[in-house]
Amino acid sequence: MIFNTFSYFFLFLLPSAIAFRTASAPWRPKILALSGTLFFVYFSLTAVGGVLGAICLALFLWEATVSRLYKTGSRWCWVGVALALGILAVFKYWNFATGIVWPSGANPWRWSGAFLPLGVSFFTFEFIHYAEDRRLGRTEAGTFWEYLAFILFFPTMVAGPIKRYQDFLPALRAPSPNWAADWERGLTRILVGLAKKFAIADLLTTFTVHLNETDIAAARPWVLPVWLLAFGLQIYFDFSAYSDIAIGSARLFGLPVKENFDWPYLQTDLAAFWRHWHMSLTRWLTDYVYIPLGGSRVGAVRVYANVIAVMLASGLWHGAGANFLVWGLWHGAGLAAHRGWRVLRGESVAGTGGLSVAGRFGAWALTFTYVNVGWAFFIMDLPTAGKFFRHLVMGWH
Amino acid sequence: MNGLRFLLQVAVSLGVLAAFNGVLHLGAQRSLLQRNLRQISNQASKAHCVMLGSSVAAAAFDPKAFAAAWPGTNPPASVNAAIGAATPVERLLMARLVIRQATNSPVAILGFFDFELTMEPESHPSPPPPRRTSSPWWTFIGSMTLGFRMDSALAAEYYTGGSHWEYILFRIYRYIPMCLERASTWGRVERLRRVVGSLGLPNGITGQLGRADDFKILEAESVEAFRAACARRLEARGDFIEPIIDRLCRELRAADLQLIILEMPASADHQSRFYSQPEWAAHRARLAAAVAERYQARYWVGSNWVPDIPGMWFDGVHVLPAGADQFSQRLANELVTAMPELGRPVTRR
Amino acid sequence: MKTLDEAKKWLEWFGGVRDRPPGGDHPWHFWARGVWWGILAILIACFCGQTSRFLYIDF
Repeated sequence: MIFNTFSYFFLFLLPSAIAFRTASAPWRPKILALSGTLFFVYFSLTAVGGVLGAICLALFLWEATVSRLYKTGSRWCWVGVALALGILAVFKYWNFATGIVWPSGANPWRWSGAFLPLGVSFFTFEFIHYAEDRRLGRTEAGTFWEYLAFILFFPTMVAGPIKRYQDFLPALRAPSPNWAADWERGLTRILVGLAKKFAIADLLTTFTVHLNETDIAAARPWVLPVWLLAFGLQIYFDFSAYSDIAIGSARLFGLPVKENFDWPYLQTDLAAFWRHWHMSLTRWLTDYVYIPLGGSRVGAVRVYANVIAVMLASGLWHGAGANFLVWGLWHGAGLAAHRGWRVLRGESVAGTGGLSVAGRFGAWALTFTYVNVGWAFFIMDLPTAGKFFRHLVMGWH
Repeated sequence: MNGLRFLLQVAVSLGVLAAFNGVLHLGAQRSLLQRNLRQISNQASKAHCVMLGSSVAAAAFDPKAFAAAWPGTNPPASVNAAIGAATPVERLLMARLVIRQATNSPVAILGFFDFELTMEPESHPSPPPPRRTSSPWWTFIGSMTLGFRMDSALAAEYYTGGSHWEYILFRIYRYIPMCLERASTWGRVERLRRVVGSLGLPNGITGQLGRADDFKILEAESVEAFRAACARRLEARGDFIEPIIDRLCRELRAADLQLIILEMPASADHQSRFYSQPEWAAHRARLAAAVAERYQARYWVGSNWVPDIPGMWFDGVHVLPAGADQFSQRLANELVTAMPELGRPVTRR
Repeated sequence: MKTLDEAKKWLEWFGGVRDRPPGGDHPWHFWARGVWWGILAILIACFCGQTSRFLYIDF
């Protein structure tokens, strides 16, 4: 993890935030671009990808250059989208996809030296957002350096939130002037993120480290839901901690970044859960997958298919594995069922108005349970998840 | 919020941290490491027999069992000054503590297993690089912080590799309890993790040292790797004995202590896989000759002193308390044969 | 629900999400925030060792 290193704070965050704050306006995008470049190269070499990973910096420079061709209605925008999808497909899904064709025995197309460029799942999504929004005329181009600053903004590079250029550009041109308030809130956010990561998320690994075939077989059935619940809490505290540190870090520059989590485990239906969990990804999937597929403006069957398709895409984005697809399908089916239930009762899809206290508690419990059962497919491969549920329900594996 | 309030807020938080450091410093006086150091310091002044070495020796030597096994009514006083999870530097510091306190010219027994006393040869025959640990000094916890507490100049010289800037940081580091004493808080968290993590599962093997599984990395990963390590040491042209261990032995001899180099007990599996190899026999012979020549020390082979029966072994090289009883009794019997005069009062010059 | 909403707002303020606490800012708040920073730093220091290789617990 990068956010828990001294290098992140003392080599990158503090020096570049101070430089950004004290620099004149024309220099600010260049400072972000330079610090992001150094960050990408440094952590590629020391953490993820090695020398080849560091060379992938060229992807950012290529994208920033080609982005100058994006205009409303331009076909170059499609090229940009295709390129970003291609980067994702090659680095993240090549072995998974070719492994489907050759499931058993040696895969002749297997890329044995496969690696993931730092933050590939996030920066490709920002590339696609910019290209598509430029094609639709939803955002201005900005300068080369402003766009490079956007895609190389290192606090959000590794684990999001997935930013929008329309939000970033005005702040970049006129960052918040109250440095004391920004630093106080930003440092508080960072410290809270680190405390959530170490004192809660890492402590919960005491339980979740046992979610493997050997320990599941040896465990007493009563402890299995404890382990699964621990994972549900661990992933929340871990991921929201990364977002806290990213948002807090951005605040030091005077650049606001939108929230990524908003009390997701307190929500009373699955649709609300997804509007409050990893919100930047949900917004991205809504804008660039769900709506282009027709959203909710098509026939009923297609709407349900769109919902499931979006969640399958979400599952696949989280990991290249069959278990992630099942996890996506679990949530897609849940969302479709929720939508169908609402339509059947003649209610609007959003909101839980009209429920009694007991009803709201029941709705919350059902949502919480459904989400946490789904985590089994996220953290374990399918055979292990199967053994987990057999042991849990029937006491044997 | 303005700049002044921000700085005041920072000052308040630093004040809270300073108070916490104060509490840690006071609490650290009662830590296991500090208590052990005080105990060893007291006992060393009366001891006729001192055990030095690593966790293998720390686990194996029981002064009470040793005294009980000594024939006669006047068993020699002994002390276990071996220290686990440490480098040769910490062992040298413990030896110096013993030398400073000892009044009876005790016999010093340096226990070891595998390659603890000999050096992985460098590619050049020049003096070995100072850093002998895989992780930098600012990551040290527990026993490895001994260098900050006792003779930090020696530890600083050894661990900072000649860097003046690092040397200064090293000497400052010892005054920050949050850094120096973090093992005590981390240890409590680790205990909590182990209790909570074992819920709903059968008990794993644990002993005073922790979980047996954690110690598997101490043994060679294969017989071939072990044989190759022996061969590299035998073929090297440079130092055979680890330089800090060499310094330790010379200082013990200069203080007029008799020295016994003791190959510590190993499980039957460890002996059959590793110690039965011809390369180990050659390594043993060379080490025995070297310690005899340089330090006039005896070399004893104790690897088969503890039987391989249930309840004796924690892992391949560490014994459980029952194994420590066996070892200590055997050591008493060997010493009474080799040094019957041990325990009689001696006046130090 | 009001209690829950109030609690969420206070937690969000302590968490750095909100710029102002419920009920507005007070001059003495910087003391509370400073102590809160100290507590967070202590928690981080105490719990950040969980990934270290802990062979010999010396406490």
